[in-house]
Amino acid sequence: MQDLRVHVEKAVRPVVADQGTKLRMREELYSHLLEVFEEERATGDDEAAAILRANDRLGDPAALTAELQATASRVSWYEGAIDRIVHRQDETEIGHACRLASRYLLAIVPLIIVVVPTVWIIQTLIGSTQKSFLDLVSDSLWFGVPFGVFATAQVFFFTIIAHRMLRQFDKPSWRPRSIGGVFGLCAVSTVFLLVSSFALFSILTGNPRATYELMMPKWLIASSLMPFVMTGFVLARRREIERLEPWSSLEIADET
Amino acid sequence: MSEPISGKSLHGHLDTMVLAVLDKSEAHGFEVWKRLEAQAKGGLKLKEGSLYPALYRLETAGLLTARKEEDDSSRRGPRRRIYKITRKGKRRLDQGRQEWQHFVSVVECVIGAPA
Repeated sequence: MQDLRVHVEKAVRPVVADQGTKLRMREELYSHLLEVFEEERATGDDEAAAILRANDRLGDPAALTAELQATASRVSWYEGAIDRIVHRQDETEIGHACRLASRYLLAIVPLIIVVVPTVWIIQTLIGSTQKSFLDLVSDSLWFGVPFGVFATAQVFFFTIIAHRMLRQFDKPSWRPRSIGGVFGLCAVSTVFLLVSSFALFSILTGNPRATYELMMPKWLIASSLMPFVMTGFVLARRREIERLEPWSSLEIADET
Repeated sequence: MSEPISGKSLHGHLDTMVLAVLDKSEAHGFEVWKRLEAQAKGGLKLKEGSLYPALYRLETAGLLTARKEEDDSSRRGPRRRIYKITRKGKRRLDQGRQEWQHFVSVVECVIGAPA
């Protein structure tokens, strides 16, 4: 059935859209193609002929790509486009972490560009500020840059941790290889979250001591949830990883 | 018999046709295709892959909803998505039917009129 998968992949891989949307397209077209194949087999065709007939009935992959592309939303297209810019075949853990972190950064930059002038215009219209636009930009940068660096670093770090975490489980049973390894990664995540949050808010408030006294108890509670978050992440990703695997390993000669 | 109607001529009508076949009951993509084929009595010449972009368009527009089918160990392949027409979809279908009737009657007046 690999030939059927390849036909579907030729149509879907060039589509610029987010991974979830593309996975849905792949599975649905493949499912259809399998039914067509069974139908062709039932008419007496041998397997090779049935595959050819089924692929022909589904249509030319390039034409299908264009039709599928037209259904992708702008948000999905944007996510897919960023993926495409920074994605490399057979990327490493670090490469994947860089990709996700840069994708995050690229997603928030336009948001800030839109939000800052909008806030200024609204505040000026309702007369709630005497600040100039430049003052507002400066204030936004003061908060925005440390927060952007912090959030991007979180995405990078937790992507690496997530990769390590996924390796702690045996496939396909998904039993942990080492309980110590799982807890160790959870502990590292907790410490990283605590330290980085403390650093961020100390910079923003300019008062590390007050930050510590005010926020540390809350952060400790929040950070203690990290093991549950990490375990939940693995369980939630499990299905998607299993579903994506047969597609990502396909060699498609005509990729654009 | 006339040539089957191909993709280009169907442009703009496929979405309404999909809504029409889903008006009876919910169905997965392959079943939608079988219904289209059966109701057109071999009069459609369309690549089957084109059905899915139409389904996605309709879903995005809120005219269809989709859910994953229950696990079925008797068949191979991933779980299929079952499409169901929404109330908005039913209203759109009614509108599409009226527009089609109007279109046919106007064209009939011109093309079907005796020379």
